[in-house]
Amino acid sequence: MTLSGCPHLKALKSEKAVDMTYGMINCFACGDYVYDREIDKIARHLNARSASQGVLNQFVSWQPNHKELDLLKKNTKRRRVEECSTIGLRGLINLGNTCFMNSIVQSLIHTPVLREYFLADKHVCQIAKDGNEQCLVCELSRIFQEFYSGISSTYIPFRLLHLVWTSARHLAGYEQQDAHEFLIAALDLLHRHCIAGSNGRSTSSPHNCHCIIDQIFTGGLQSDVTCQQCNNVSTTIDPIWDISLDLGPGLYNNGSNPSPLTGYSNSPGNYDPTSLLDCLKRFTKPEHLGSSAKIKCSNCGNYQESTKQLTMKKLPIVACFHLKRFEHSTGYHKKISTYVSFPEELDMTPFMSSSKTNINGSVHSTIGLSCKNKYSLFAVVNHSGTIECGHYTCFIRQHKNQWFKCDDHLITRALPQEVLNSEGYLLFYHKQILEYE
Amino acid sequence: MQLRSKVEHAIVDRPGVDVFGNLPAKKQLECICPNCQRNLAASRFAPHLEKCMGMGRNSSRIASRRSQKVLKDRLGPDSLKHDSGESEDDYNDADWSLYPDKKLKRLRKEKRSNSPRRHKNSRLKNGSSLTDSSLHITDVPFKHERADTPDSIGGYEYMTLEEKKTLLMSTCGVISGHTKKMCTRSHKCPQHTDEQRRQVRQFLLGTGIHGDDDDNVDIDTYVDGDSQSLRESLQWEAASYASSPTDSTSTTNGNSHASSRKRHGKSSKSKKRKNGKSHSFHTTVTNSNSNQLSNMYEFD
Repeated sequence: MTLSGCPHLKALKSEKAVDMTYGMINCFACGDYVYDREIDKIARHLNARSASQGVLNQFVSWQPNHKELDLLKKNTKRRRVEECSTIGLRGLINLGNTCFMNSIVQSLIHTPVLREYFLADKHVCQIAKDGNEQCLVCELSRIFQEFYSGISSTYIPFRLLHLVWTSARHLAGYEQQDAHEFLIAALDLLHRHCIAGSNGRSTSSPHNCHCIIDQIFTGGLQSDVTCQQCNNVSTTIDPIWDISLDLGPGLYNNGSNPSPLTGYSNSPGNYDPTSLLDCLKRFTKPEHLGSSAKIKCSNCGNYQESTKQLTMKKLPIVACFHLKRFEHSTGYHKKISTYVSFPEELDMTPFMSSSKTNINGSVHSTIGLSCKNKYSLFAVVNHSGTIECGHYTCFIRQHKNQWFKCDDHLITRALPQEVLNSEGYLLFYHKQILEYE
Repeated sequence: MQLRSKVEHAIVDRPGVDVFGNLPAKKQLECICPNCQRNLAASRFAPHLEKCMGMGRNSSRIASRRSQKVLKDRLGPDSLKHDSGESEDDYNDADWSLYPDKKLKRLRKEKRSNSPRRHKNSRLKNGSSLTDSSLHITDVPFKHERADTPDSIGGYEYMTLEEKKTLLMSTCGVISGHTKKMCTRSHKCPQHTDEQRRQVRQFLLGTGIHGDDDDNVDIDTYVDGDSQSLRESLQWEAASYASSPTDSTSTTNGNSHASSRKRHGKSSKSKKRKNGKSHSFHTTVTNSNSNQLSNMYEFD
């Protein structure tokens, strides 16, 4: 685009055209789009006017305000994040059994929508004490800055650890901890700090909180309980940040024998899930709640046996799947290390509430016509070792398809196949297409 | 300029080095503790912070010995009634090394077995609700040696002003509502606030205070975090959204069974953790309470 000013603009005879979408002028003589401040102002004004009439969800491009213009003038260094650049990658030192925290931090730093939020400086701190010292969201924002600074030295997240320990006492303590638990606690803390101090606390429920954490991570899990007597369906929708999936042999057979309350039933071998899809199928399969778990039906008023089915009512922008590899039953603890395959691309359509069939049939896997339920894998947290002693690492995806392995301070390139062959403990997927609300 | 930035931050793909071109050497990085402002090795930060914040196993022992020593020094050896069982403590205590070699050996041994908290699992299986906390005290085998050295000092009504002053100058001093004893942790003790510390000083050293102030002084069992989760859990129950995302991680097969199993599982899950914590708001309340109790008795 010619910025220096087009000499033909004011001339009546030269040929020009206006682009009707953005209001840009194309000068045929120059052979290029040309910029004129006055015309640009008119275009923006008309654009804004049409947006306010509710015609379209208009994307408004960023216009720097005076303060930002000033900053831009004073700071002339520009950084362009190329595909082959390390910007966005940084090692995290292990502070003493903190590999679980490092893996979660890496996953969050590489969560696309979250990254955009923080790099666009969207966080306005609600906690005004000690100059934002206590706000976990501010701390995370600082960490994003550190990761995108271009500095390659290992980052020391000691302030983050201290903040988490002071804000969430149940997590504090030098010992090996569970990454999934840390993730949920961290999201919870971030969510609270996002809405702290505002009136949001009293009015927002988990279903319509507008903080960035809820916008990205909160999905709706629908639970339908059907009374066997009168077929009345009782529905609840719970907000969730992750989907925890059982591994190992199923506890319940296909409805025939009531299973014992502890231990495993002797279900056929092919019931063991060996893939994420298997896990999800089992997760959304209607199950018969035994005679020991009768529920009072609100419709017919009797204590009846019932069937329960879980499905996804609302999908989050980022879906986190938690493979329950740490088993506790009848007093013994072990890790389930069986291989569970997971795909790079995942279609959640068959597991939606809108897709579920009647309670007697299983969910058919329909080929998703709508692409709004399609997800892409972007982070995998792995655990190696035993339940007593182990080590967390993670794989994260940068740019379109570049994978990297993060092992505390050691960041190395990884092949996609290496990622897909890994054991998998926490799987992070993000929606391929974002929709306006 | 574009070319320069390419060279500056280009990913390195050579075997044996990371993406920055560095060899995978062990890092000797340092950081500053936000609590005590000391310089220390980054890889030892977590264990240090645990002690520094008064959370470790030994912290209360150190604190109680600290205050007893202070009192002993100032007021003579007869002022305290209970025996501290000091030699035993010193042997076990990583911080006070009268026997440095033994300490190192024991530390190394613990590290090798990689389960300094192995006993915790058995304890966690008992659950973490308030009602079970009494079980905890008798349940754990090594606790009996601590019975002689509580992390709190009672009988403040019988102390002279001098004794009170001495204690308050070196310890937190907040009086617990449960035991009516004074906290012997440091002034930075995270369990109590500065306001509480101010109040107890006013109470013990100030002018004519009535007995009712006992209630003012102690807000021990109720911490800000609790009120938040309590409030929220009540609110959200009222709003008929009985759960929050932290609460309703999906169960799969079975409902009551799975949820009870999960809670059980949550208590004694994967890695060694502190008291059983589920991340539901409802159980968070009881867990935090038991945290308070457990912190008081210091059996973490």
